[in-house]
Amino acid sequence: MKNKILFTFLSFALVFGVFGFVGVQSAHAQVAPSFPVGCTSNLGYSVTNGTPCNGTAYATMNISGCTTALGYSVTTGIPCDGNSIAIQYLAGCSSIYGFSNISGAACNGTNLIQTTNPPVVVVTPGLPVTGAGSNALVNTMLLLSSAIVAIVGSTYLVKKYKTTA
Amino acid sequence: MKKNKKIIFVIVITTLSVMLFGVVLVHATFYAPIDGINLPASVAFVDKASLLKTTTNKSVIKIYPTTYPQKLRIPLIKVNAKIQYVGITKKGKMATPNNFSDVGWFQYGIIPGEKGSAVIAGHVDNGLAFPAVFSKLEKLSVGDDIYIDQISGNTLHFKVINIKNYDAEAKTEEIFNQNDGNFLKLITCTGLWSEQLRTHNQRLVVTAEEVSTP
Repeated sequence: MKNKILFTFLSFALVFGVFGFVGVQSAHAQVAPSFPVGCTSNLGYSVTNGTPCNGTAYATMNISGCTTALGYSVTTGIPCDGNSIAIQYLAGCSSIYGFSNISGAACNGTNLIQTTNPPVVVVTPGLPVTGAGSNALVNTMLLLSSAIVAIVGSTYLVKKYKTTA
Repeated sequence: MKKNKKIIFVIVITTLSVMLFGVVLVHATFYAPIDGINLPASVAFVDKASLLKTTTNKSVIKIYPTTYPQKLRIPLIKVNAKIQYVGITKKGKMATPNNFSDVGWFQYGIIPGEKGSAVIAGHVDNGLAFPAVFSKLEKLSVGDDIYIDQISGNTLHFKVINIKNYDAEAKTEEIFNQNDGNFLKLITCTGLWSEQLRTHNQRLVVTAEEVSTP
């Protein structure tokens, strides 16, 4: 009898233990944070491929002393990308100027492009020609004349077909 | 024999007329004249060469910056137009989109949302004088909303601050190089047809300023 009770107790313990272990594993899987490769948080950019760690087109930046994801915070000295290693340039960039040739994002880590040039248009073109209505008369005449010829020709052919048939 | 020749002649003429009708109708309705030329990459405000990427199969693809504009929306006049990237023509004028429903952004200039003046042009009417994308641009007034959707999915919000007519041959520095804010300039034809210029004698320029950034 004692053995039976012990056996039942151990069986229950085994079953609950297994379920408990699985439960802990799955619970752990649900709460464990998962970040993209090269990211240890959802701030800034991946140190591996330079893509935003939050999975969107633009990285989230709320690190004190940082205005972009590049370099180090001017107040705390920690990397501005939110990781343990500061990144010099974003993926597809060889400087902070222009755009990445991988993602097309601005190389200065913001959503505004930084260029070496001042914001002055190098070539100032003349005003565009944005009206085609001036050709309307010619186009209408062409449409009307071709339509008339087509109708007359078709009518002639139908009549000919009927007389021969 | 003579009768057959006549019938064949009528068939040919009728077929040609139907084809001509179709070509003129489609061309006048959908295809706008373009004569853009390629400028050296160094002229561009954005380094165009850096946007070319060679793929694994050695074909070269162009990566458009995520801040490039994709769509222009003006709810008041029901404009929801795709944005083409245009340059300049052989005559040195800003080029225009190749149809009457899209608009053209001057790609050698400022990107909408950046400091300076981003310029977008659109047609006022098509080859049959029916309304095109910017036919109601003149109905805008100060304070009206204009939106630019970027490739990234972000939306830029502008408000109209000025509406002005320029002569077709006017100097354009004021339009393209106003740098004291983030401006968007929308241009279309207005005024009367000039036989001498072979275009309308004026241009309507709507200036809008960015009011918020995403």
